[in-house]
Amino acid sequence: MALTVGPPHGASDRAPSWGPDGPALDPAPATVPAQAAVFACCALAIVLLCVAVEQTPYALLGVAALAIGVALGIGTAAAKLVASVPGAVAALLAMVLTAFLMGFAAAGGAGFLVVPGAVPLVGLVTLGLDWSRVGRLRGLPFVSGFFVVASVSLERGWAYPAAVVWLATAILALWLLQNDERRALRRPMPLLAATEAPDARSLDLVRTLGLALLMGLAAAFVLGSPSCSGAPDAMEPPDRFRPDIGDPSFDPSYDPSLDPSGTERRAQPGEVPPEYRGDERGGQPGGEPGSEPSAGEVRTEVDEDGNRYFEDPDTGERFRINEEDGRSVIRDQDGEVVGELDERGGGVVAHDGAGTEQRYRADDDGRLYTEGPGGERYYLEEGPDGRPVLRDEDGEVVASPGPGDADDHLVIRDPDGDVLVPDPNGDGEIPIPNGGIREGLPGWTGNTEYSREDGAVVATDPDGETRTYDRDWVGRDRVRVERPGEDTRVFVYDETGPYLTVIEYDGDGRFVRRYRYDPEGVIIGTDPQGEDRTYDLGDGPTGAEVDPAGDGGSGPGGGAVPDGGAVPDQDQSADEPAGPEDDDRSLTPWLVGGAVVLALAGLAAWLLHRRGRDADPAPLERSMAEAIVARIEAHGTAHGRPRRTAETVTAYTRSLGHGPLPDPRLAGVGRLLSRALFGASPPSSDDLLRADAVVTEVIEAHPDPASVDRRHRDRPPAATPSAR
Amino acid sequence: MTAPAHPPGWVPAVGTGPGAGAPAAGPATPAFRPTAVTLPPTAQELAGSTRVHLRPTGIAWALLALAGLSALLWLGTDAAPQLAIAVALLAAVVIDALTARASLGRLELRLHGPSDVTAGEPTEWLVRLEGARRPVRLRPALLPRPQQLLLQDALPGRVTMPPFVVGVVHHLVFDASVVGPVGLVEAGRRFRVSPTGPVFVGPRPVPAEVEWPTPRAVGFGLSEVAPLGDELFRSVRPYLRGDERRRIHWKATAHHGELMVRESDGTGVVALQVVVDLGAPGPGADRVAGQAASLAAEALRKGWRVQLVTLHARPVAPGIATLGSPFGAPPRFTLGPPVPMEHRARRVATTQDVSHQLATAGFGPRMIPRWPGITCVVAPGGVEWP
Repeated sequence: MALTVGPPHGASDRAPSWGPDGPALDPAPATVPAQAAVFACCALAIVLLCVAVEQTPYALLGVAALAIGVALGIGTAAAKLVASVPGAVAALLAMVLTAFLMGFAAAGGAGFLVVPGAVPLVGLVTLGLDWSRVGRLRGLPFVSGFFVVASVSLERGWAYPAAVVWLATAILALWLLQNDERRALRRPMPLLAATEAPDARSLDLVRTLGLALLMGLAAAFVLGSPSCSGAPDAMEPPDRFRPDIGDPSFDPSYDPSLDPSGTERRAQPGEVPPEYRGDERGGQPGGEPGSEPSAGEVRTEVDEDGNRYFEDPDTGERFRINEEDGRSVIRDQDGEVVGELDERGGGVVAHDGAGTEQRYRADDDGRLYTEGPGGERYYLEEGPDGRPVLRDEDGEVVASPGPGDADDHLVIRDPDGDVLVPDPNGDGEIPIPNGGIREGLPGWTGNTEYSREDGAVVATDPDGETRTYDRDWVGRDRVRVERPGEDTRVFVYDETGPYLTVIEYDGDGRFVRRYRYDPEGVIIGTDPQGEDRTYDLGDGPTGAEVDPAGDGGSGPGGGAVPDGGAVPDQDQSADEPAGPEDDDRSLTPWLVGGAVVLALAGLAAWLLHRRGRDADPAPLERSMAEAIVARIEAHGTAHGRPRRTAETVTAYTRSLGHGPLPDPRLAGVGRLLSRALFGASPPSSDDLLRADAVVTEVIEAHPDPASVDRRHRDRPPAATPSAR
Repeated sequence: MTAPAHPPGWVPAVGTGPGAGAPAAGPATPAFRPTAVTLPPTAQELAGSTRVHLRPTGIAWALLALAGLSALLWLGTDAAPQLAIAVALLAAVVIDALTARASLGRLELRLHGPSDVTAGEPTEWLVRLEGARRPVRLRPALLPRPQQLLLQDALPGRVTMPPFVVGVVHHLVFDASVVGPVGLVEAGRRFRVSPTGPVFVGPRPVPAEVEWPTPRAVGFGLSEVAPLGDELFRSVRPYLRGDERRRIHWKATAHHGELMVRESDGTGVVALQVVVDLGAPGPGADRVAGQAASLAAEALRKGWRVQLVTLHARPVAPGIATLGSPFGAPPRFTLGPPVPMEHRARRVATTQDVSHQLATAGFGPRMIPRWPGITCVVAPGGVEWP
């Protein structure tokens, strides 16, 4: 450090004082970099919140409002409005007042334009007024964190970058504010003039920020993704569990120009190949309905009334095609809309229960099919129970209808949410959880018989398949599927996370597979690993309970409603074989959370223990109080009124005040001393000093009677007549 | 005189001054004294400092709460960015704490101040830090807590100490703290610092309305410059050439019919004995000491010979029961063994002598030694001239 010689200060300069007469320290002012960093932190939170709630225009307005407030606070005298009240509090008050005024205006019906979005904008402007003090700005990164944490829960593509940027901005803002606060502190007056050493150490910031981000991201990648499979938004089922819908890069029918997003996407089954697109009708350029059929066309006939129709070759059912609003709507014999005819050669367009468009075309035999980009066909046929199913070219059922129009089986879709995919291992369907069985218990629904056995609901199909619905020890739905000649499967449904997780076990409780679905019913991942994991199907301590009033339809498995029957009793037995699985992924977060909570509780207990051990068992106030009590006791004893055993200080001083030491202030002194000796919040030293002064005055006003008597004894005795 | 600022835990207040101390005899009321604790000193106390204590700041608790909330939300939503935020915030707090803690590891505090101090008046001291790796905030361990001063390098700096109470300063207690780079955690350490020598804190002189008695010279040839002393008359003799005209004794001249001059044995000096009876501990004792100091100083200004009589208590450095936490209450001090007291009658030549003797004055019965000059007793009842 460079030094210059000579005293830099005059003799009259006064060194900074630790005394009570020292000048009060002004609030530390924030420098422009710190103000900018806090502003960036808050602006980022505003943007994230608005984007998360899909109110993007308000992001710009919010940031602008905050900027206006900051500009007003710095550039004008408006900051005086928040001099005594923190800006955050003032912002809340302003928002409440604005909401009240707007509500009042709206109720008055005076034609005021009520804009609810103005309320937070007013709050932001008010908040920006208080943008100059370190102490006021320090809490804003913390407040902004609430919005950021809530926003990134949507786990969109920008969640990770947003979290990282906010963390970096918040720590940078806190570091700058800390530097400003340190800069505002007084320093001892140097004896020698020295150059100011830079007190801002950027290495500290780099170290803190880098390590914190590194640890946070590492923890997120290690703990936040199952099986360390990477970012959650990248989770997809393994290819072998997905339908072979082809690779867009090799798909000859793929035309990127038709993709409105301009990005690559997977072609959908039934999507019209480019060669069939155009203004063609009936699959041929310039063709007319009813012309010669060809593969991929829908054969239509014209009835006696001139309306087009076609017949199901299997059932002979006739479907009429009506021109409605420029669309060719297909209706069945009951007049119900079953689909729509794509006159451009796209075949029959139908919508499933989720509203997803599916295109079906007819082959040479008139069978409706949907087609994948790879050319494989999936035929829409009637299942054994009269409900439509989707079969592949080999005749295997690959999917069944979904929620809203389905029986008690789940629908599995691929990540695109459109294509029905087969049950991954083909050994059966995944049944819906208990919530789907809300009616018809016990009794018959169609060909399925529902009954109760030991508190569980058992559904028995005509083919001998039984499904036992109950709940495991943690209250999760559980379905045990037993088919004649096939392995028993147990399905457990976990809805604790953002996804529905279906865990499949075999009859012995061994883990088979796990499926994860998003709220839209789209499967986002499977976990075929962990064959050695087991699910204890032995005697469980808790009873199972079927929700008789389950609302169904929740999650992808909901919606199947067996008809008929009575509402079952809620009394359930308690002999369900259930037990905790050792390593169920769905429990891992809670176990981790519980461990963290326990660790924090232990840490808090340890800190409290340390504080208690380090705490002063006899603080100075107590010592002072004991000394005053000793003085009072000594003086009271001298006046013939010693303190009795077990007599409280308050009672003793009150007694003295009404007796030998008549002074009304003694009672108050006693209460103060009692609080100092036994109270949870002892009085201050100043109070005790004043109490001691009072006691001193009382003692001086009522001197020790022994000394008075002694003084009287020192006087010469008065002459008595007898002595004379 | 009102009681000066009496910072609890301020070392010189304990044991030896008028504001504290046990009487050697007599039924005096007990003084304010901390509870006697006879715990053996710990190694840290012998070393003069405590271990490093950590205290999260308010924003750290807020961020920890945010981290906890984020972690809980992660349990519910399984959103990995929330977990990242939670862990990163927790890591930031921990790193800040470690950085702050490491900054106080090798810190040493040096203090230099005046040897004589007047009670109730601020004094300037020199303070210096050694081994500081980061800017250190320093303040005395007092209540109410004074503001912190920032010491950034090893160069000494001047600071103004808060007023002391009457007594002898053996050591001072300071709280040093370092805040982490992000301001999340504060690391603190309490130091017991001994000045280079005991610092005597004398009473602040309290002017008293005193009706001075007629000065009476004592001694022989003690001083030639005593302005209020009396000349010691010996005889008269005839005038000789060169005698000062002011020495002509006109009465004898008239009697003898010739010029006669007087001869003297020199100029005598007025001797004043100030007997201090502090009375009971408390504000009255401070007032008595202040009046005695004022009286003695005034006599010294007159050129008188002054003897101060007090009950002398040998200054003993009080022990420290525990230094405690730099973020907690001030330290507690032990009383130590009883200090024998004796009457001290010593001539004081300067106000510094007066301050030293009154700084160590104790409570007890008065004793008036034999004194050829004027004797003055300063007691709670006022100034008496027996």
